[in-house]
Amino acid sequence: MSKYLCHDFKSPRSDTSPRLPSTFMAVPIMFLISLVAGGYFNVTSYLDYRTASINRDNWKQEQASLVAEKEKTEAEKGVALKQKTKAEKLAQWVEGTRALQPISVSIARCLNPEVTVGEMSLERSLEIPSQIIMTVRLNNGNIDEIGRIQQSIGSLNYRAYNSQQSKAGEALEYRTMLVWQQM
Amino acid sequence: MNGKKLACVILIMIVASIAYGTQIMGQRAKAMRDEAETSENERRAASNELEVSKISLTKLNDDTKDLRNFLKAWEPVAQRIQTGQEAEQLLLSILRDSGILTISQKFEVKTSQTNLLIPKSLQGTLIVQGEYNKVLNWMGDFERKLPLARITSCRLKQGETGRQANIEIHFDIPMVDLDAKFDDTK
Repeated sequence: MSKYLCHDFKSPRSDTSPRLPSTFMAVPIMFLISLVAGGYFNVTSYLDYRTASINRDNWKQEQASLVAEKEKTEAEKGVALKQKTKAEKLAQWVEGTRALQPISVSIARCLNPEVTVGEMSLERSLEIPSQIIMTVRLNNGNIDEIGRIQQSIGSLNYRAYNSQQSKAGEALEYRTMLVWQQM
Repeated sequence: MNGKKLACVILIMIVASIAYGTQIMGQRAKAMRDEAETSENERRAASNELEVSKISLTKLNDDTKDLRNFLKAWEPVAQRIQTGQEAEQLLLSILRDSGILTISQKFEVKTSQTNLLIPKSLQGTLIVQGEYNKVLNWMGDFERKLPLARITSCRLKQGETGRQANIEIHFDIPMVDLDAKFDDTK
């Protein structure tokens, strides 16, 4: 540095860059605005994001519990359906187990003392076991006994279908199909 | 490029970065909002499905109430006989108690592949003889003590004397498998 200090303000300095055009003044203003606006939008977006994320997690959790509850309901439905199928099949079987003894007893009771049962056969139909093919051979029997038999069978809620009767000497054979009547 | 220009470029780059970052953040927030909305819709759909499922369960329970009660009532009876031996023992005890003469007896355990509920049953033939009323009482006992037994055929004939009767029955005593796995089609 020179020993004498010389202040020269008039001649342009050669060691500085030229002044920028005035439009470039917008750059720092834009920067400031973008800082403020960016900060605002980022904060609101972040808050939005967080709220949405919390909501999403809640909905998902609720959905999972609803799905689990639905699966439980479906399982209960499955159990009920299985029970229904089982019950239907068992009912089908039980329908063909209706007791035969009351039929034999009621026929034996309804007959006149002089009439005897030579043979009585009760056979379940193979296709529909609830239907019974009944054959009764009566000794000393007549047509009145058939009426009594039908009446006694009717009192047990059976109805006679396709009845046939034939007489051979002293024996009267009565053959019919018994169908249970629903009450 | 001088320092001022460089500073301007840096500022512009920072502004662009802020704008880009804000846009990215906005997009993410929007994506999350969409995701949340989708989740809400899915939850609503799940809620509706649950309602439908509950209604159909209630309807099914109402519709099958009688059948299920029927099954509940018959379960103890069905569980009583699970083997051929049990069925045979019960049958023989009924015969012993009746005091009638057994002329012939034949038992056989049959298996079925198609009937899942009744995979096994004791089929047999019994010919007994005794007083008319005793024979009929025995038959009544048989049907009462083995309510699931099916007498497939019964032939009652006069015995050696007028008061005696001879009865031949063919029967089927099922061994019900209540734990059978049904697929609702079988």
